[in-house]
Amino acid sequence: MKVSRSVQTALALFVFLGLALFIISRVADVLDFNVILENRYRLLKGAGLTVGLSLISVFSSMILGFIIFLMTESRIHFINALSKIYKEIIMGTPLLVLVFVVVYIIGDALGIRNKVLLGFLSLTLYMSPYMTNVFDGAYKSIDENQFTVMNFYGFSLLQRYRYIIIPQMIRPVIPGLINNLSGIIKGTSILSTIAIGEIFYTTQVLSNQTYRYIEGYFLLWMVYLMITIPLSQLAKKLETI
Amino acid sequence: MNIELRDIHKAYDKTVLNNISLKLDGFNTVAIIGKSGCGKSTLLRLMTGIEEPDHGSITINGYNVETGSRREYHNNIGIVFQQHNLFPHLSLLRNISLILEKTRGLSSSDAEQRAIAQLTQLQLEDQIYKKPAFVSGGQAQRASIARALSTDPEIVFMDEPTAALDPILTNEVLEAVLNLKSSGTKFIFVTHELDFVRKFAEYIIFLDDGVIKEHGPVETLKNPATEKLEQFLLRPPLKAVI
Repeated sequence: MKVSRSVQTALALFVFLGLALFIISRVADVLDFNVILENRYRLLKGAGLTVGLSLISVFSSMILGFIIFLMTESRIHFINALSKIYKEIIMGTPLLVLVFVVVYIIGDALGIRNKVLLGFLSLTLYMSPYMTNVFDGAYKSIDENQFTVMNFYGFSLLQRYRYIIIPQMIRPVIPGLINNLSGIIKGTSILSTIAIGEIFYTTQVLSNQTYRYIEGYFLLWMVYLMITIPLSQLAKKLETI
Repeated sequence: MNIELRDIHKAYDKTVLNNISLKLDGFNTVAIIGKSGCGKSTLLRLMTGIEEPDHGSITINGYNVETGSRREYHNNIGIVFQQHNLFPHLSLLRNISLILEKTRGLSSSDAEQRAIAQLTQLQLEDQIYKKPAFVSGGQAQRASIARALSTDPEIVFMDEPTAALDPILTNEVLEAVLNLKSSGTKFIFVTHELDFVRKFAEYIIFLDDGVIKEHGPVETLKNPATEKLEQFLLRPPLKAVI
């Protein structure tokens, strides 16, 4: 018997739903979501800060990532080396460590006390090399022969990027950017360690105040999935266009 | 057209061109022929200045390809590659007008007009707004010929322009090139299509294992002086039937 792919996908989904229901049923008698409902505006504010901070960070890390990408393509070895060392340092540092470095070392050194700003800076720095990799992949998808043609006709560097390279990079870059946005959203949870009131921190505080940890973390889990799953689905869709 | 090659040597992993020299003057269409891997595409690329020889000098129509201004030289020649190498995100029209507008300083309307005229000359007037992926391989290659001609070059270099095409599309492209013979543009080209060489070329250069084994007016093909060329001409015809 041949079962269609969509039915099989639905079945797979039911397996996970079943598992979730089973686990909930084991703890259902002690669950009380009233506390969550009562504090919904506070939680929504936290979720809003998570999404907002993520969107701004994805934008800024995209710009920084593109600058680093341009530096990796530079013919001047010094500039090239700068970008490579930067990438190695950032990619070799866990986000949690980077957040502490930015807040307690760089922030202190520069006299910046605004934690949201420092959190945003941490996320931007952390994601920028991953953005560079996305741009690099898209750049490498451009056929080498096109560069021969650009050289032959004497396009300037600016003209190459403006009319030929960047327009061709846009489509292959989009899925990677969305995946990185998803990574940033998950990464914002680390900012709870420096007491930024995003969704993770807000839920933690609420749980501590009400002793409703299971409800809080369950809600948190759902909120993250509600944001990241549509994004990853969108990325997959865009890959096939 | 004046071509002067002096002791051209080029090696990658192994020697591809071995100290070749040649001097010729007065021919408008020159074909470089020889079996696969004999170095003909390399010679053509060296003549265009896209690649540089390990040593030796190349002078084409008075331009010294190595020591002269590469930009000035490239502004005066056109190239048709084995693949069409059109920019995939641009229409056939924009592929040409972008070059004219941004690198040759034409106004956008002049660039567009000249691009349309060139594409029309290659019978592509119905396809101008299509992107390369949406036209046949033959049409895309004809568009790349139009691109090469659009800058009004003294010489057009063609590197096996039909190598990636099936026999029908090969004929389509070669017929289009044959129609350009009376245009006054000079051509240096590499091809495997001997029937096309007989119809289009005025002069042939026969390469074998990185050296020029024989060269002369196209009539040489009727009466080759070397055994190597004779053997080469005896091989079964390739794709084109024109």
